[in-house]
Amino acid sequence: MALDIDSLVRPMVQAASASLGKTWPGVAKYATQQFEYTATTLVMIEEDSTAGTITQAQAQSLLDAQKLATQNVMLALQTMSLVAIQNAINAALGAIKTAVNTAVGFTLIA
Amino acid sequence: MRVSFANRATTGAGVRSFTLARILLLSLMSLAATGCTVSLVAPYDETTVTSVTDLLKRTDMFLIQQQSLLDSGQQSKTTYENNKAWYDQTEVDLNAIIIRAQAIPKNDTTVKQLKNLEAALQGVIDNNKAGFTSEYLALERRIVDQAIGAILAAEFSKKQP
Repeated sequence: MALDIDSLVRPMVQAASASLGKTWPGVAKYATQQFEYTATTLVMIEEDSTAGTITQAQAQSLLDAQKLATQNVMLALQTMSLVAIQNAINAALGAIKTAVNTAVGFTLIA
Repeated sequence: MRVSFANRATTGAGVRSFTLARILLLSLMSLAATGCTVSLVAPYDETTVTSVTDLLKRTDMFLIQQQSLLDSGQQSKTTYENNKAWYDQTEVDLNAIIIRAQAIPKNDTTVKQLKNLEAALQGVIDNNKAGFTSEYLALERRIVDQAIGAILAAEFSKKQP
């Protein structure tokens, strides 16, 4: 039976959300989009393999490349999360900067 | 009954909050010592964006050209030997981008992304040695675009408002 994108995306999203737990809502949109890309690639690999237009070795290599691309997307999400935390801390410090600097009499928080 | 800070630090949840409090205290002490804002990731780097975008264009162009050659029956022009100069140049370019990225502090995720791209390029080289097909190239281009797009997305997220 031929693969279809929706039936591949659903279990991937379920498995990833269970694995990520509380972190999932923050990455759900971007990660789901990436799983849709991955599922589409798998469907295309299956179609091309069945049609004999790619070899088994090419199919394996394409899957390996897709895993690397997905890893890059997850790493991008990690960077985005760190940037968000960094900005939150700096915004919090910025909010008290004047009060702290005035109290100590010098520029403690730049 | 009032529980002292020291006593709370010896209980289960207390140990966690004590550890968190220590991290916060150390962060504030570090901030006080440097007087700087917190930096968890490398700052936005325009050179990374420019060089990775150039690489994306060159790779897309290469894969499209290879596909066009195959589709027009010119398979002999798509051999590994024919493409070796392009691979050599691209490996040099990518290696230069990686080395530069490694020299930037707190840039580990970008470096890892670039190394993933390097591994993907090696996959293209291996496949070229066995012989490309038009369908393989179409799929590979789609995947490479995702891999490079994620590097650019991460870099753009570092841009401060």
